[in-house]
Amino acid sequence: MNLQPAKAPHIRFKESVHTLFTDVIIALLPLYAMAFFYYGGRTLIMALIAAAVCYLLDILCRKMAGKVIKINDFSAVITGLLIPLMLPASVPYYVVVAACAFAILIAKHPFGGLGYNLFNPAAAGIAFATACWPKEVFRYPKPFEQIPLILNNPVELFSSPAAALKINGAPSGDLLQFFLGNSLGPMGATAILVILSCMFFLIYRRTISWHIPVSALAAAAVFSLLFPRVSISLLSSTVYELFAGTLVFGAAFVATDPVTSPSFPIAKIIYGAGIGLLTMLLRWFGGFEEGFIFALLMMNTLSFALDRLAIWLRFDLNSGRVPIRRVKAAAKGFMARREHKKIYIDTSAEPVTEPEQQQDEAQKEEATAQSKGGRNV
Amino acid sequence: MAKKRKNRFLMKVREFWSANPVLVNGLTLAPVAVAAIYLKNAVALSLTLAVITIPTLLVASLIRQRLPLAHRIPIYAVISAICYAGATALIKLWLPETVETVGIYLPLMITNTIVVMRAEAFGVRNKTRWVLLDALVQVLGYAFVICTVGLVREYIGNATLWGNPVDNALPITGIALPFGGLILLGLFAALYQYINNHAAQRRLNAHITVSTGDDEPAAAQTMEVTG
Repeated sequence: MNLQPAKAPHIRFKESVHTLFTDVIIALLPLYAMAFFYYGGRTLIMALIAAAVCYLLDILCRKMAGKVIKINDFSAVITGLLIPLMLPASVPYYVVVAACAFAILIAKHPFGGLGYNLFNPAAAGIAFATACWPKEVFRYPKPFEQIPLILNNPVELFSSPAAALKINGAPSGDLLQFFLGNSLGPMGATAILVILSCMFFLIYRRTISWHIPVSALAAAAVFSLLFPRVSISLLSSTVYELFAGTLVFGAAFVATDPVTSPSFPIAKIIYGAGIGLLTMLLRWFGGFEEGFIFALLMMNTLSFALDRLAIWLRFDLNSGRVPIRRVKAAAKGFMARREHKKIYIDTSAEPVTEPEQQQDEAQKEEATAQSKGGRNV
Repeated sequence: MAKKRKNRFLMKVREFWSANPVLVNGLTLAPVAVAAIYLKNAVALSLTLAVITIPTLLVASLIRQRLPLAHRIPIYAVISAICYAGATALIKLWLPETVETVGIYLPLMITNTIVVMRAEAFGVRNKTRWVLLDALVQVLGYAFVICTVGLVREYIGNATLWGNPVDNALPITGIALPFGGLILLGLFAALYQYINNHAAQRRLNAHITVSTGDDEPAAAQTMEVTG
């Protein structure tokens, strides 16, 4: 007999990073189908250009850094497919290329490439395009208008419902058409029902977890219920606030990037809530009509700190329950330290050996300053 | 003795590259990142820096350590502020249009970090002539970086050079914003590191080929040294 006992997790299907990439690409295809349905073939050309530029630049950067070149690494393709979906279908091709180049060359590889990037590459690329060409990025063509493949005679462009909300005006139109995506907006981010079903597919496949999208949308909903911007009924204003703009799309596909988001459940919930809150604040006080991208980039910087917070609180990675006892103990210790400090400050009014200590400290400070000053000679 | 002095002179001049105030020490970054969007702005800022820094460092080398640290730093600020009056007069005379485009970063040059760092690190404990040379080298190093950044940002972001329009198919306006300046500065510093590493590796390779005639260990060693 020749028995070869395998080690403990007896899973036959070999799941890897590539499975995750393939899942996300499959979930993005329906969005491209909707974009093709509404805006015609130009959307597919934009997707092809973006994916090709990202993929080739990724390989180039790997070669420059002296890393192993993996042909089957599709993370850059996902970045490339996400970028056009957050842009209008009428945007010139050079904006797409510039956004992709910025995403890979500035936001991804200088930080160490896949797995090490601090900021989400797709979000950084869109932020760059927004900062450089706001006129092209925030003006949208009408659905069912065939856009010529090369923009010789530009189509008529309009501003989106999000812009109407920005100047405290109520968007007009049927709510059902709004949910189906038959409204002005970025080419992939308007079809809310399709986005939500793709999001459920990804959650069902456990490619993404529910924490980030749900908490982001909940935070934005609560904020817009408390502070409505337009004077229509509270419910419909909240619906418009949530579904106009790229918030739903971004919360489902961009914010859930496993590299730049935290990994503990409670940290994910705080991260998502921060994104929703900052998005609404940027819509209120920011210069642009849409603030999701900038909110995401701001929260990206906090994701590591949130993970450390979760570790400090010793949250269970699987259940995500709060250990009340530990939190109470930590709070008690914090208060005790504060009390101790108060007592210390009160008693220090009576000088015992203070003058000598102060002198010593002053001398030490001077000595260290001198040694520091001498460093660069 | 003369040879030693000459060596020291060469070392000091090489600090233009090897101890560059912006690329190595990260001093006075804000004007480079924010205000240097045109070449004229960059020239005005480097002129202000020169007018402010050289006399202040001269005074620092004369004061030396006769005053305690806590008294020296405010004195540098006061002298810089006095020199700034002359700098504004010069800039209003030669480059009057930059006063508005540079804005607050001209007067902020009074408290620039190059003055304090170089005065405390080098000025207070060396002879006056070396301090003057050091100030000159630092100012030139700063002017080199800020003028390069200003040139690139003016060409890419605004499609002009020294105010004259030039051919640029696609101006990327984002590079004239502060984030573009910081990213450009980061890329510049990366290029600097690349050039330095390359030169060090080549020097090491040459050294080892002369001594042993073996190339591969040299490459491995350089990776350790530079990485």
